[in-house]
Amino acid sequence: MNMLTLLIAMGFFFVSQLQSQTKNPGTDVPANETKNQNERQPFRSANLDLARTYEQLKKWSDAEKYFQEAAKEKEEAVWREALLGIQRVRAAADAELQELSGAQYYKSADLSDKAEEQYVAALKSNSEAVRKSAQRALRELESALWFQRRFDSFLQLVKYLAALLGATSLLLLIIASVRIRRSIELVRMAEVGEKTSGKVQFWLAYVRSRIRSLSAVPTAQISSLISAPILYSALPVFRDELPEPEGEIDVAGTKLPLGSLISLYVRPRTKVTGGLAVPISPADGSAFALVSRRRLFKDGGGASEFVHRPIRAAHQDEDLEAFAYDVYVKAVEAHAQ
Amino acid sequence: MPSKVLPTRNPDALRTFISGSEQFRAYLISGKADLLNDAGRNFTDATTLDPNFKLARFYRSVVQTEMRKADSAIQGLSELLAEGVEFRAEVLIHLAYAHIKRYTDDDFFTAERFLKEAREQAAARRGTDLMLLTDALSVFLYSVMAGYLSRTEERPKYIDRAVELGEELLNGPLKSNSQVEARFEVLNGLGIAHMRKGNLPEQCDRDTEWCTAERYFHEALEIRPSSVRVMQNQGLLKGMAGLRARSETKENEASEYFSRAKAWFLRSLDLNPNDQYPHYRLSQLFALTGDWESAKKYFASGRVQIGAVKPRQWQALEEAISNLNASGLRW
Repeated sequence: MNMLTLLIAMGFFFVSQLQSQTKNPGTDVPANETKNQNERQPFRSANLDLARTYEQLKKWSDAEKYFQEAAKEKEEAVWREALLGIQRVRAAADAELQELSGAQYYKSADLSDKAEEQYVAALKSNSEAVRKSAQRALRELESALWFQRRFDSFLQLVKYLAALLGATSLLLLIIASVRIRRSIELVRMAEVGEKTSGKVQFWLAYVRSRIRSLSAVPTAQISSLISAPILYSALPVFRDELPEPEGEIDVAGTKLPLGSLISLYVRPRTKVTGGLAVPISPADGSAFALVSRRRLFKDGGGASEFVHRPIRAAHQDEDLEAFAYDVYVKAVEAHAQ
Repeated sequence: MPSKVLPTRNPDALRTFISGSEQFRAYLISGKADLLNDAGRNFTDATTLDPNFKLARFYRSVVQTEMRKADSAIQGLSELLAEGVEFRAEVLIHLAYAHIKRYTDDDFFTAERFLKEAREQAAARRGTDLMLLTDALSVFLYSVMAGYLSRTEERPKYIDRAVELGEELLNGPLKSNSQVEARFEVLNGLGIAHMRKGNLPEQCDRDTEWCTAERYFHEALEIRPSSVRVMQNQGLLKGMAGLRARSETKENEASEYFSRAKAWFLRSLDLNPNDQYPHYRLSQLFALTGDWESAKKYFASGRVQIGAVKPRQWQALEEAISNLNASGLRW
């Protein structure tokens, strides 16, 4: 029976020895286990005790220092135990340094964000040395990251601005479409005959500018021309007074040909076409204009007005001016319907 | 949003109206009477071509006031008011102005009523400019009342009103020069008010008042150098000073003032000979300085013009010329 008890005890001793050698030393070694080992040690060593205490406190460098002292002692069990201790604390120190080395790897690979994550994780380390190294490295990294972060913020701002510009362009395009739709289109009139080139266009432009000029309030007389803007505001916008919409609109980096589509499909509500025919003198000529209303996306539809004036050879300018007034009156009237 | 429409459907009426507007504007800048006549003719033609052309009728009436045809202007503007127009406040302002130009007590009080209504209309439209113009014209009205109201004992009250309102406007909304039209009217009104104040019998500090008046007229002329209204007011002021100097037996000083007064009236006559007022004043001035031939000449030319000089004033002048005695003339 005593023999059996001795064999079991020896078996436990060898199994525990094997476990302590195969397990990851340091953090994974419970304190009570170390204590049990100490209790089993027949010999006492102050260096060994100090080393174990530092080991329990996870102060690997101090622990290693005392294990080294213990390793110099004569007692075999002590120096063997001390050598095993040195192996354990070095392994434990290496494990903690792995976090820092991972961060350093990321840093060298220009993956600053990843490196920062690793350093932040290392800040939670139990080792003060690791924490200090991590803090130092983080400070260096932060200063290196400052410019990058500002640059990233700037890029973000540029993106927002681009999106805003895209939205504004879209809005402007819509406004431009509405303005085009509300305008009157004066198509260049055909002119046939001697010395007629550009005459109708000239008189149309001249009369329009005369009507528009009434908007200028004089600095002369009290309120005398206050009502002039009433007349001015009565004249709608003409298509040739509006700018062409931009061909392409950049919306969030995508170029959309909305401007071209608008130019093609959004038509002024009222269209004026016509012509001037002046036969070889001394016969009189005639000018005509057709005012028509258009639907949104195609020609035709609304009521039309027709203007016709004889153009006397002897009073060509006078008659053309009267014709221009006639065109504007009819066009504005049709436009307002 | 209501669609925009032209104020007439008649192209010939529109064409004539625009020509008239351009001529009227040129008149306002230059003060030349022939441009005013042309503008009036064009506005009349436009209203003949399209009797419903209310804007042309409005301008025709405005021109008539300028031509001293206040009765016709009042009739035309009253018709527009009765028919209803979208520019009612402007019509009321010009109606008030035409009434002021008749120089009678009833017309002054009617003008005051119209100005009050115009201000309400302008306030309803949130027309700050129009409100300022209404106030500016009120200054002018009170300054005219200060010289022409038949109840002479009330005149000082209107002098004070004109000065108070005018200076309030100049120191407040008209401090900047942005509202030149209203500013001009206020300056002219303040000049008249100080001129009248200086002419009050009990006035001790006459020279200060007249210097202030001259300063205001000068500022008004800087805004509108061709304003015959201000030129005539300057002439009136110099005439007053001449008569005052003569009453104090300062004959040299008086003759200097009379010369300056003549110069101002002649300058206004060069621009617009169609108003009887400068002819009347020149005739008076030549009578006062003993140049009876010139007095007769301007009396004759003034009688054929239209204006608001009262028949009894013409009669007094005629008597003075025929008797070769200017002592009974009143300025």
